Amino acid sequence: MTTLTKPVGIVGASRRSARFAAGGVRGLLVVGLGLFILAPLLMLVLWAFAADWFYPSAFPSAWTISWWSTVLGGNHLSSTVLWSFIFAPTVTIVSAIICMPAAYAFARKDFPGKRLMMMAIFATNAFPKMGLYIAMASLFYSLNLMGTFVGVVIIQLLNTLVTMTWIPAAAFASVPVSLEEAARDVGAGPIRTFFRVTFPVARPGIIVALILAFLASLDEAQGTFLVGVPKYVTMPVQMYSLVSGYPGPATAVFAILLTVPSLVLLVLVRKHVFSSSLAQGYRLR
Amino acid sequence: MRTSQVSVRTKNSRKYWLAAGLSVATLGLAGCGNSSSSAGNAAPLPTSAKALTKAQGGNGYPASAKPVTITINTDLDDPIAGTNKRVYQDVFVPQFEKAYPNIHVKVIDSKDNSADQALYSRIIAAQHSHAASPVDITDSSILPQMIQQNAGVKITPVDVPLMKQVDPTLLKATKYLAIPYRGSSVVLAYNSAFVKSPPTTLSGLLSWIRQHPGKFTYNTPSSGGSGEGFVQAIVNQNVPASKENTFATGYEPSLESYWEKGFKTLAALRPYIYHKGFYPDGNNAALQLLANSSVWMVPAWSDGASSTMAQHQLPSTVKLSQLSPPLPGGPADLMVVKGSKHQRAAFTFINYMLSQPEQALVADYMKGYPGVEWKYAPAAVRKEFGAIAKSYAPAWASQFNNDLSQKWQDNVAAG
Amino acid sequence: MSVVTEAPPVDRTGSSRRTRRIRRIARRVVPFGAGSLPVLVTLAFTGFPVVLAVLYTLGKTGGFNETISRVGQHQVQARHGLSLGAYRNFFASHALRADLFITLWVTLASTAALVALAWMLALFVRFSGGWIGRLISTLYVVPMFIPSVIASYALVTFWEQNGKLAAIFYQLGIPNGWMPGFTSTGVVLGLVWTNIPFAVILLSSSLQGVPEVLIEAARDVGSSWWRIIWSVLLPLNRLPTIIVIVFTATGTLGNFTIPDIMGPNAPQMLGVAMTKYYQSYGQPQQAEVMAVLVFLAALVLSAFYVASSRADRKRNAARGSARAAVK
Repeated sequence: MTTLTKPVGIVGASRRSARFAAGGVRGLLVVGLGLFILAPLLMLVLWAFAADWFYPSAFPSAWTISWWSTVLGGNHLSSTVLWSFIFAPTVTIVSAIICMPAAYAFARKDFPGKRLMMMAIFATNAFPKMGLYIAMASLFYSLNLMGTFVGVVIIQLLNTLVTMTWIPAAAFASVPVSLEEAARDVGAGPIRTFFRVTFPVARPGIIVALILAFLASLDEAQGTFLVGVPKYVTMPVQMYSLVSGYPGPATAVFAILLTVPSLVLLVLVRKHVFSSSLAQGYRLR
Repeated sequence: MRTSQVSVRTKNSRKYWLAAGLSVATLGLAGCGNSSSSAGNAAPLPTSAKALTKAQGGNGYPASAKPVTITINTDLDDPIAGTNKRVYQDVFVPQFEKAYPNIHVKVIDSKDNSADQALYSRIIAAQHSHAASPVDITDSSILPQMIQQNAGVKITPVDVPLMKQVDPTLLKATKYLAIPYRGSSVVLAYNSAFVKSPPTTLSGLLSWIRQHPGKFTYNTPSSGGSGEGFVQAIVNQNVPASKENTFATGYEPSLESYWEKGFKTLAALRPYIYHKGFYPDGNNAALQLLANSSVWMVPAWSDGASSTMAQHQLPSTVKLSQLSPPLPGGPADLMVVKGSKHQRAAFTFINYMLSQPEQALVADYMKGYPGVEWKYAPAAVRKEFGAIAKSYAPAWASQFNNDLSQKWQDNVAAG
Repeated sequence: MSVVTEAPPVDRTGSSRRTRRIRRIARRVVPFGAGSLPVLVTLAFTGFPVVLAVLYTLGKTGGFNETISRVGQHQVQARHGLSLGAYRNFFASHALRADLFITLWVTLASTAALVALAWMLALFVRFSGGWIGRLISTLYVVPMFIPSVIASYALVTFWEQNGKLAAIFYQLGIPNGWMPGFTSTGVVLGLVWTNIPFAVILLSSSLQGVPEVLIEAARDVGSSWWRIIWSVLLPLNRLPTIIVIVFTATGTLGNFTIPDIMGPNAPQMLGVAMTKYYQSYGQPQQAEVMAVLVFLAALVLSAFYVASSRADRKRNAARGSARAAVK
């Protein structure tokens, strides 16, 4: 790790060349990382416009936009996008309602079995999803949840519980108690204190948790299919079925179209993701 | 997701071989999803429900009945799979809804990796608890299991008058719970730029593979019917003719001992397979390897390969040919699911799919052979497929297919 | 560090002893109730099915498991008590043993590679200012927003034999005999790709918390960067590193999408094998056996995590009291 910017204690002429070398290595790392992460995605974009593209051509030999009209022309997209964007906010809100009070309790109060509870949420989620879905069907049937909106919300909710509890808990814990005390001293009630003092300070962590829950809901396919079919078909459910069945370029078009919402989200919330709230959330208190 | 559905369409082999020189490939290619171009060889369609019901007799859904929505799931895992749903959505369903304005058809795609099996569990669970079935009609890989579980509604000539035109042996194999509406066969797809004279027999194919290391592969049997067809053809070589029918009618695990020799052959073939034993996951994935010239030859569905070529996703030098005796082929069936709340409407749809104009569309859009017996197929279709007009084999019992996939995984892939 | 000490109850209304007692009880019960809400949801919709699944693998095919056992073949049924037959069948299969081994291997390799890469990137983000730092921190977060199906599809078509990368190599005249598409190594790379954001965010935000003075001090006494990393940064970031290891390893053990799309035919990771056994081979019980085995491995990792957290907490507490003593 000799490539860090802070000048290392090297003296004289060698320092310059060392710095030069460091810059080179750094540049190489950035380029390497860029290629590793972005090149496959860029190829997908090229592919979406390829009329034909066979090995060993590095680029398509002819271009077309016909795949886009093929994909956009079919009636695959509209309703699935709609359902995705109905489910994702719903799941996020329900998850927040269930988990936020718990997160606050985990952060502020001490009660028996607290850590056990936090671990239980994490550990049960470590059971492989496929195994879970196999075992869950009869339960969903006896509760009349199959094929219902509520059933889909529950399935998607399960993937969000860990982040929605742990990260806000850390965020609440980072709010100094003295701040809340001060608010109470000047006569603010507990609810007022929470919304005026605690919440604004904990907000970055809460936003990160909401984003992650939203993304988890947008990404869930297996369980949503299991429970939602035939009425509730979301984007990733549709996508799973298309990735295999369609010719490469059409798949690429789908992939791009279905990545767009996530990317818009990325641009909107980028700075929140970098806050330390995410990291704090995974520390078991 | 390149899924691993067992495709039901390929099943027992041997009898239903469709001869070489696939005229399918020469069929005029209708760009899928564009219904106007299809009608070339389709007879004009009676557009009123009354006319249709009258023409076919039976218990069709009355035009005066209140509007219903029926749900059909389809899964077919090959290049036409997505297209298959589109054909339903863009061709069959609009036409059907025109004829029966009070029946709305919803098509769902259960081709997701766990989707089909999950749906199957759901259907069985629903029947168990007497709840409404999540789908009314199924056209997917779960059919053999559904038949095994008696999870379909028995088809009668009253409900589906046109069932009289379907080969009775096929109906018997489904216990009259499902009805074939189209068929196709596994063929060899090869790149003629590299292969001048393709093999014509199974043993010829095996020695071709050994002579051209790395230039052949087939998809895993659990991921699609074309690879499954190839594997079946090999393991079937050692099954006594007297036992062959048992594979369709029951489940006797002891019969699987006949497969062992075939699996040894396949395991020994592995070093000569592409990338020293890389088996793509799905019919389409195999065709993609052919497309980028990674391999020179793969087994492929006649219909799937044809429609892929039509979309220019295979080099123009790719051609299809058939072995003698041919590789397995088989029917695709439709079933009305027990627990469906709209059985009459569902049967009406199935009957409609067997009508002449729809059978012409099956040939046109899906590159499939007709589901009705050849003598009832539209004249244009008969002419097109005439040379290879034979019936199809009934499907294997699902447990045999499941075991075939697992034994292949254990003995060949992980062998 | 959560604050355990409660604010002293402010008794503004001058209420009676009894209401105070009720309040005291409520202060314990209400948070418990709130805290148990997500736990209850988890227990009902995950815990309960998991118990069913475990019983099913032990040969209990009746009750709630009846529906699933109707569709299964080659099942082990325990007439009395429990049976380990399904587990014996698992370990009797050489293919499944290989699957178990590759699952552990891929988990180990991808976690190790991820931690190494993430540490490197986190150090850059922490110490490399300017455009390079900004560029890296924009880049590494991208995979978080790409749905995993799309990511694996893009990666494997890029990396496969005769894929897009091979085509570029070919055009540049670089020999391309081996490509990671459809190999277990490819799965490792794919897992690293998808897990980068989580790992780097965790590590870099914890690195931000390392006081500059500590590093300055170490540099003043002439420590090399290696030494600073090894004896200052690493110990201070032990817990976040363990969190990255435990959470990515847990997610990897049962992963399906990435190994399914990017992996070889055999050996398969158990996440793939269990799906195949359920869906293609009609053997839900054997699928559940695999799920339970993966779950056990994940539980071991969780225990490791709990132990590390506890150690970390104790250390912090000790440090805190030391600081208090100094005051």
